[in-house]
Amino acid sequence: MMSKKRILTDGLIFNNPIFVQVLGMCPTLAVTTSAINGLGMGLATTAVLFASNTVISLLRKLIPSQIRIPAFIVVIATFVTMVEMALQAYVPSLYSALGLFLPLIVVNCVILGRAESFASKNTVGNSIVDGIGMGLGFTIGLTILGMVRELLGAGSIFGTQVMWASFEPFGIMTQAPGAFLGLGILLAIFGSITSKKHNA
Amino acid sequence: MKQVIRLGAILFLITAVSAGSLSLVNDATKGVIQENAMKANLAYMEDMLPDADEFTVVEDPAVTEIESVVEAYEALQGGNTVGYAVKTTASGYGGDIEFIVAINVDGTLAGMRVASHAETPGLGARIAEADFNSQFEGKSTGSELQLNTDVDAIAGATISSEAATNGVNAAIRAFEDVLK
Repeated sequence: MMSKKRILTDGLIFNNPIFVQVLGMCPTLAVTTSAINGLGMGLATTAVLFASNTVISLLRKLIPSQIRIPAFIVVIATFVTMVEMALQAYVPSLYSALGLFLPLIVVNCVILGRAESFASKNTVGNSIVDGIGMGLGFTIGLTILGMVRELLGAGSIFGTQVMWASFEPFGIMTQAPGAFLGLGILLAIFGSITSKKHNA
Repeated sequence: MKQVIRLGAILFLITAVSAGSLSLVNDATKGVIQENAMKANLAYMEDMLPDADEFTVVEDPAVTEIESVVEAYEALQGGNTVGYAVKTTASGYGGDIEFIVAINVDGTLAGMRVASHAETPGLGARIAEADFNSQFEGKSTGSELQLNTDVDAIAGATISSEAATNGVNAAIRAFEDVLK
């Protein structure tokens, strides 16, 4: 039995959905054009992950295994739609920035992955911790990638100009190729740091 | 057979509870969302027709009978009509797109804004950017606009660009046939 602390750090670092599991690449690559978009997408996903993990864990003994996938998808889609409506009503600027990618949280494999491999087999308490850990791990990954891309592609972080005035932004970093370049470099850095720790 | 009914019933129960809770959230947020949309529409109209100090809905049913026209507003400045704002829809690549088209009373387009859309980010979604929609400004309403003659399409987003042109043309028809 894993301790709650271990479950949390697992999601945040050791089993980070982006840097270790390399899951949920569609939103990761698509919305991280700026730090604020990455953060918003990450938090929206965290909210869905937290809610879906809780409900699926509560229902884990009631859902027969033959229909578990449609049942999980219905639960996840319901929460995604709720988050979508809430954002549209109360944070319309983020809603329009995330646009099409918001409903696509439904098919984010991190969420279904955690439902299938964790929430359907563990207690509610542990599933909540797992949802928060994985969600925040996802958020951290998206925000860092968004910051790197925004810094190199627009010379700013969270909309504030930080590079010197004569800095010529690499426009490519805020476009599709920049997502792959940024993610690749971050994966390499993360990999080298964690592998050193393991070997030491 | 029994198993099928049992599984079906469980799945039905889950979907029914989801549908119920979704309708509750929808009820709670619907008003706020509509209010936001109204505020955004009004901001667009004020932006395109800066002289106007009041917008009133055009009640004439002939306006909404024109295909693709949702509603029209009369822009007033101290009681005099300075122009019209027409809300239109056109089907794009990712569903219906809503446009707000402003027309000066002298028969020139004051501008076009995209009120809502679900077009592909980076491609069709660029119809909402100034680079594209500023092309409509100043065009005459004397004839309907042609894509690639009067306005340049966005490369790789012909359907969305066409939808924008159709949306503006619907407003031109409303202005020429009824409002003028």
